[in-house]
Order: sequence, then structure tokens, then C-alpha cells
Amino acid sequence: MMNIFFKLLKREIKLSIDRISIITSYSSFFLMSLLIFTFGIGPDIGKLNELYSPIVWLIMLFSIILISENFLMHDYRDGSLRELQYLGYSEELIIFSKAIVMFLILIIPHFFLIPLCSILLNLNLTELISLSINVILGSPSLILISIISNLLTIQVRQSKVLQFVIIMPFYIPLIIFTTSRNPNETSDIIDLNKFLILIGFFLITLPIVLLSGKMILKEVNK
Amino acid sequence: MILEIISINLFRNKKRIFKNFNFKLKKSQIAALIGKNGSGKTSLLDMVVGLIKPDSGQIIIDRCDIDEIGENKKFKFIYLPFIDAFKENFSVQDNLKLWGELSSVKFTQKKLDEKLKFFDLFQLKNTLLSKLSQGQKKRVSLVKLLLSKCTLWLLDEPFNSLDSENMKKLKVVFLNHRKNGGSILLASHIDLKIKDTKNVYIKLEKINAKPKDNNDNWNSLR
Amino acid sequence: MIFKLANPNRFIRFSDRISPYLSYLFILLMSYGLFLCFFKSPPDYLQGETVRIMYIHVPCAWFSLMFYSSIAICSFFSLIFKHTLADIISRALAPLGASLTLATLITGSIWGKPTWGTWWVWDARLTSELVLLFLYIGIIILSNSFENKTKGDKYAAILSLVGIINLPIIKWSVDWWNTLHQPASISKFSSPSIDPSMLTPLIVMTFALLFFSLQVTFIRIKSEILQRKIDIIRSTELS
Repeated sequence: MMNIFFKLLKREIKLSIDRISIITSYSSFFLMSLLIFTFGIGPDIGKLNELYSPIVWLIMLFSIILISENFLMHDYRDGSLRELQYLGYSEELIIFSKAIVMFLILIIPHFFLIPLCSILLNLNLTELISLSINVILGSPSLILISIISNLLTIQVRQSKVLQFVIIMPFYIPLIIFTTSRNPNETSDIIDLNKFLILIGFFLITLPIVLLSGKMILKEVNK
Repeated sequence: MILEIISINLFRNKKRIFKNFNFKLKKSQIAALIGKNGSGKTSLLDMVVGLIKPDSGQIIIDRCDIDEIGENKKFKFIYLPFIDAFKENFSVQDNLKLWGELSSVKFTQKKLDEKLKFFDLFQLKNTLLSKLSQGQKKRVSLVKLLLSKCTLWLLDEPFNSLDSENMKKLKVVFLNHRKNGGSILLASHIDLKIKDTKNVYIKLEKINAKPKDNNDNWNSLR
Repeated sequence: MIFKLANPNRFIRFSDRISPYLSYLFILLMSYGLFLCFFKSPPDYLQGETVRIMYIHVPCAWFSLMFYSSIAICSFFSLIFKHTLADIISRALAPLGASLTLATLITGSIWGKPTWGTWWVWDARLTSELVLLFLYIGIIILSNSFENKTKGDKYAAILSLVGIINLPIIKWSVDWWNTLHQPASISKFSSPSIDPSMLTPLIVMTFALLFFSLQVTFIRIKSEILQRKIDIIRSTELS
């Protein structure tokens, strides 16, 4: 089974490397939203510093809703999703490989966007490191939630608003946990409780997404 | 017996498409499903391939039930759907290589060139698929038949969009495959004149507007 | 009984027989409940007369959650057991549940104005009701986004199952979020020990709302079944 999984993974990576436009559209949307936030909140560095975490997570939500259709909708429209199914690949592996590739592809823009954020929002080194770790631990769950909402609306035209309505309730616990600050925690960088909660959230979301994704992919063909 | 379809029933979109349909396909046999557009040929092929589950009945490929084959589907049969799955921004060659990796079909560059030459696609091997005509795209998917080693071929309208010269070539390919012990199940909306083909006619059954028993009425509600 | 009533014609006969009794019970209990609310129950020590809104707010809140769980159970029956009426029951319950959630929010904010001074407060309970409203809206829009109603039903069923699994997580995280940012606040919406004079009107109103909801649901189920029959007849005439 691992061979099959790596085969799928290799294929997805090959297909996504061609879509360099994903990275550019994600990055440009991210930066433009950040700019608009800054214009809205004002140049007061103190306020921006307080609100950096929710701003970054909100922009991530919108950006991922925007670009996630590249991974699933296009594959459905040109028939590749069906092809994977009738060649015998199990639906869970298909979804899991897509999730991993989305995560890997999105690490690239995050790699330079997060330090850029830290410069624009005047974060010190500890805040930057904790934000990066939060993003690495939290973005898999966000990617899984966006995959499930994409699968549900894969046959609906112009489904962006519907996707947003579906994602919203499931994103709320994630954003609560990623932006929370534990007042009792002494160390600024390593907030073990928060990291464990984020990892736990991912581990709960993963089987839910894989199982419901399998049910949806079986429905899609009818 | 390579393929057995046993007593399948199918309701779709409030119409009964198949009622206790039985069919057997032997080695070295070509069978053609002939029926009007919308009569259920594609649904039958989808059921054989495992994309749709029939409401009742069994499908057995090479003495294995279709639900239990799992990953080995790609070794048991090759399926060319009505609109084949291609990545539009990859070249002909790259598409076939991607397909080869996915279906575990190994071929050298030399063999690929040779098969492309058979369908007059050698000059187009580096062209992007988005720039090809419908007939050329069909020929690209037919090259898969030449590369594959499966004995069972399931084809949905393989002669669509082909000119007469390529139709003759395809008939030669079919007769060769039959000579070597393979079987073909193809769907077509016109009666093709291939020697010794078993023709299976499919007609859409009309259901009465006032059904006699309540159960029949209710089943069509799903 | 669940599978006996799966036949739609039998269900319609059953609901036709029960409907009048449901209506009588509803009118009876509603009038008795309102009488108890306004005349027999005492005003609260702190809140005065405004506490009487609790008699509508609390049953609505209970039912909004109960109907979401019922939708999830129906989705489970529909997907796993392929129960024929389960999809239709989900479709009937969803807008009703959404309206009750909206009623909870509105009555909650009306209750909040005299007590808190503002129309809205990000209390844990009200916020989770707001999230529940979005869950309902998602199901309603998704089930109506497809021309083929059966497809819409299946997708909405999957979404409601995912929602019910996540619902405890959402509620817990909203509670935690509330305590994190407002360290010491006692919610005036929950009374730890209810006096019997307040309990009786509450229970009466709850049952009144229950019979009202059942009646509305049965009417909606019947109309949905008839609508689907019309669709079949129309589609067979065309072909």
C-alpha cells in the first residue's frame, strides 16, 4: 500500500509543479489583504502587534478557500478523479495524497510570507517563531477542512460562498486555539498545551475527512 | 469467462435503466452494446468498472467480484471513457507517461514512439493536449490500448470523432487483440460492422405513469 | 416502528390521523403555558419581569440542538440503512431547526438588553447558537444546490454527520474561548437551581413547542412526499 501511496504522491507533485500560478496567486492575495488590514487598522505599531495572529489566520482562511479549487475541482472537471477511482486507487489514499501535496505546496509561500509579515507587523523573534510553529501545526487541519468543503460542493457551480458557509463552523475551533495565548505559560515560544491541542485537532479531523470524503467520492459518480 | 454481469437492476433519475440484465463475455470475443444516447450504455460500463454500484446483482471480472478487486483493477482491465482524462497543459508524451505510471504499464521511449507512429501522432508527441482536435485526442487515448497488456478492454464510443482511415486501423487493432486471446466490450450508438461481433441491444424501458404497486412508485423516488 | 413507517403512503395516513390531536394538544398546552408564564410565575429577584422571556428562549434553545441531532440521526439512517423517508425528514426539520435557532438568538438578545445593557453579548451560549445557525444554513443551502434532490439529500446528510461530530468540539472551544477572555462572568441565562413555580411553566411551554414542531414537521414531510410524487409523474410524462 505504501508503494501505491508514494505513486499517487509523486503524480500529484508532478501535476502541481506545473501550477506555479497557485503559489503566486496565494502570495499576492496574502500580501494584498495584509496591506488592506494595515490601512484599516492604522499605522500604530502597537495595535498591529497585538492583532497579528488573528489577522494572519483570517487571511490564510480566505487564501486557502480561493486556491483550493485548483487541487480538486480541476481534477474532477477533466475526469482525473474518476480515472483514479476506476484504476483502483482507494478514495482515502487519493484524498490523503492531495492533502499532503497541498500542505507541501503551501509551505513554499509561507516560508517567505511569514517572515515578511513579521517585518510588516513588527514582531520580535520569539513571536515569529511561535507564529511559524502555529502555522505549521494548524495549516494541515485548515487544508483538510477546505478539502471536505471542496468535495461537498464539487458539482455545484459558483460555490465559493457556499464553501465559506460550510467551512466557517469547522474553522472556529481552529482559529480559537491557534490565536489563544495562555497567560500561565512562562515560555513564549513553546506553549506545549497549545501545540498538543493543534496536533490533536488534526488527528481528529483526519479520519473524519477521509471517511466522509470516501462517501462523497462514491456519490459523485452517480 | 472473462466478464460476467449477473442480474443487475439499476434505477437512476427516477427511471429503471436495467432490469435483471444478464451478460457473459468469453475470451477472444468482441461484444458491442448498442443503444440510443441515454439508454444506459455508459452506466453499464461504469458499473462494470466499479464507479457505480447497481441496486442489485453482481459483476464478476476474471472470477473476482468487482468490489473485491481493489488495487488490482488496473491489471484486470483497461477502460477508456467517453471523454478521457487528460491534463490539458501537458504534452501528449507526458500525458501517456503519467498514465503509464498510474496504471503500472511500463514502456520504453522507443516503444512509445512506435505506437504513436501507428496512429500518426509521432509529430504531435510534444504538443500540448489543449491544442489537439477531438479526433487527435481520441487517438491519443487509443494509444493506451496498444501499450496496455490487459486482456479485457472496456471502451465507451471508441470510434467517435475518428476518420475512416483511423477507424480501419482501430478495427485491425481489435481483430488482433481478439486473435491474441483478448476480449473487448464496447459501447456505441451505431451498429459497427465488425466480423463475428456479439451485438447486445439496450433499450430504455418505459415505466407506466400510474404504477400498479406502491413499492415500484417509491423506488423511483430515490 | 421506524422501518414500518418508511413506506410514505403509510406515513401520510399515520400523520393524517395524528395531526388533529397534535394541534389540539399544542393549542391547549400553549394557552395553559402562557397563562402560567404571565400570571402564575413569579418575577425574578434581579431581572424583574424580563425573566419571562426565558420561557420561550430556553425551549427554543433545547429544540434547536435537538433538531440538529435528529437531522444527524436521520442522515445516519439514510446513509447506512438507506431508510426511504430519512432524507425527507431531514429536509423537513432543517428550516424548522434554523428558525428555532434564530428565535433563540433574537429572544436571547432581547433578554440581554435590559440585563446587560447591550443588544448582543459574546456569551458562550449565544455564540455557539450562532455557530449552530451557520451549520443549519450550510445544510439548507447545500441540499438545495442540486437539481437532483436525491443527490442534494446525500451531500447534506454527509455534511450533517460531519457537523454533529464537530459540534461538541465547537461548543467546548467556544466555552473555553469565552472563559479565556472574560475571566469572571456568571451567565445570567442559566439558573443553577430552578424554583418549581418556574419549572412548571417551562416544562409546559417545552411540550407546547414540541407539539407545534411535530405538527409543522408532519405537514412539511407530507408536502415533500407529495411534491416528489408530482415530480415523478411529470418526468414520466415527458419521457
